[in-house]
Amino acid sequence: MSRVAKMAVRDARLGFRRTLPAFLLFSLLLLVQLLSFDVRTSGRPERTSQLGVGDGVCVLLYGSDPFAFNPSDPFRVPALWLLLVLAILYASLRYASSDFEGPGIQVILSSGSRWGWWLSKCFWCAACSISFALLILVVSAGYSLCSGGGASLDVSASTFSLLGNDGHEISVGSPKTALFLLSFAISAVALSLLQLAVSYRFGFLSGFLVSGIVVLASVFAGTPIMLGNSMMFVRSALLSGNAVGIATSFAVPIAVSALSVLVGGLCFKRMDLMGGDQNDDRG
Amino acid sequence: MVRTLLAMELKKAFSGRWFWLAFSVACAIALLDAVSVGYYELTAGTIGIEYADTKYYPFSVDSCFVNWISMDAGQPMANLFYLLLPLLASFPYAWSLRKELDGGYLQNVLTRAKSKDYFASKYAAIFISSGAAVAIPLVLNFLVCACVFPMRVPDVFDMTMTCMPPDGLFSVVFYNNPMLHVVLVILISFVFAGLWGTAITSLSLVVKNRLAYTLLPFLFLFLLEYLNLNLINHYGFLISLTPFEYLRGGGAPMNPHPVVMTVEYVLLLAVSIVSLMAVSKRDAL
Repeated sequence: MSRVAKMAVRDARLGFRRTLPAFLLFSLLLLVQLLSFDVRTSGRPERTSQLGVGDGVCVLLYGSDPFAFNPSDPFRVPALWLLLVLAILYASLRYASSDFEGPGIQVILSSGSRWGWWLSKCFWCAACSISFALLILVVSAGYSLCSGGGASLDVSASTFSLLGNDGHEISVGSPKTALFLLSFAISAVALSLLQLAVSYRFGFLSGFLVSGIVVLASVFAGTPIMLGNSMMFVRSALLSGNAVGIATSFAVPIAVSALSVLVGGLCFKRMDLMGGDQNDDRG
Repeated sequence: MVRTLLAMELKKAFSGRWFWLAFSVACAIALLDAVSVGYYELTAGTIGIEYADTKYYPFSVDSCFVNWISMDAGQPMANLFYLLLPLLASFPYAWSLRKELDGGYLQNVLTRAKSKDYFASKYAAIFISSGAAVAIPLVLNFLVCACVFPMRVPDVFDMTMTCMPPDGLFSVVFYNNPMLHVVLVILISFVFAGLWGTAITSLSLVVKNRLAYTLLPFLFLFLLEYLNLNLINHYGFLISLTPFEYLRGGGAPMNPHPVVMTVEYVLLLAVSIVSLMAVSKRDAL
């Protein structure tokens, strides 16, 4: 097994073990949202069927329409969507930061390959983000099967209506929902790689600040550069022609990921690991 | 001795790069908000005003008291500022006590100064630096807005555009003495940011990882916001539980409630005081 593969396996083993509580809390939050949505909408006339898997994904990752000023109805932030995305970013960064001290530094020195260590951390961030995206699918599927909603990834028009999107009578087929989940996962990977690259150069808190600003700004600005737009169901091209297109929602995160890995790796290779006080400041 | 310690801690807090990072981000957002409000005023905001009889009916909405970041609901930057406020408040100096505990600096200081004096100075410096990182950008935003908009006293008849309902928090002050309202809103934000900073410091005595003690409370606020929007509001309680909304003078989707605010401020203060008392009794060795 190559050095990079060995380090990647070590990171996956340690990382998933340390992040297990976060995965459990995340699943609990998803269940609470699905259950509360189910209870709140059960008596509504628009409700025609039980939540399917696709409906569940839509309820969890719906997001919000872009910011628009209306004095009589002030803008509400999509708190659940923000919490889920920020939690994914926090969980991926938490292990990367805790492994940048003590035994983690020893691994860099004993492996003799900084690029290998850096790539294994990138692998961890990607694996962690994809796992959270899969968890959303798994929890939705579990809930749907338990409540008798069926295993389809289709999103019904009634779910959109219940989520407040009254202007559209749209239903989304399974391939599009799967495509959206893929774009969600790729964008989450891009954001976590971006924050990782910033973290090793400017500190872990700075890394989170950058990714946090991108995510929060995505709520207000509907441009594809703000990666969060590709992670909201309501803003993907599945629903609206004016929203982020499918090609863009894949191209931008892939470009950001490639740049982050390259630039972050180059910076990490030149970094002074014996910086003492400077390294403490990395947070 | 306390004055010397406080001066030393304040110097450390305000010269650190983490303070300047938080301060720069907050200033950038506040200035962007002011520029975008000003740009809107110059381009779209004045359309139709020349047809109105402004001599007898001046538009009170066209005022810096209505358009500064705290009252402005029309610009996304205002929302972004208040969403990031707790995170920015925890950046400047809230991490310093944990770092000094881990690095051994604390033991050196405590052999030369009384522990009570030192920790009181430390907490005061954290309170002031966290508050300043948030309050100074708010002042800056108001000053820039005051350069663009006249200082007209808002009229209650324009309340649909001022985003301040008659039963809103400090609405009487807003419609009668708007300058005092500006001072009150900035003061409330300053105190919240300061208390948030000291509460983060208290948490850092229990949790060692800097990312964890800085970011987990911030994520908790989003959980509270989610519960607020999806569960509590759903059952008819239209009050705001998080600083994302209640720190704003107006324009938030939910009304700030003085009781909720007081409870949260008292909780943050209690956490800070209890941890200050506990850490002061700690043995230096």
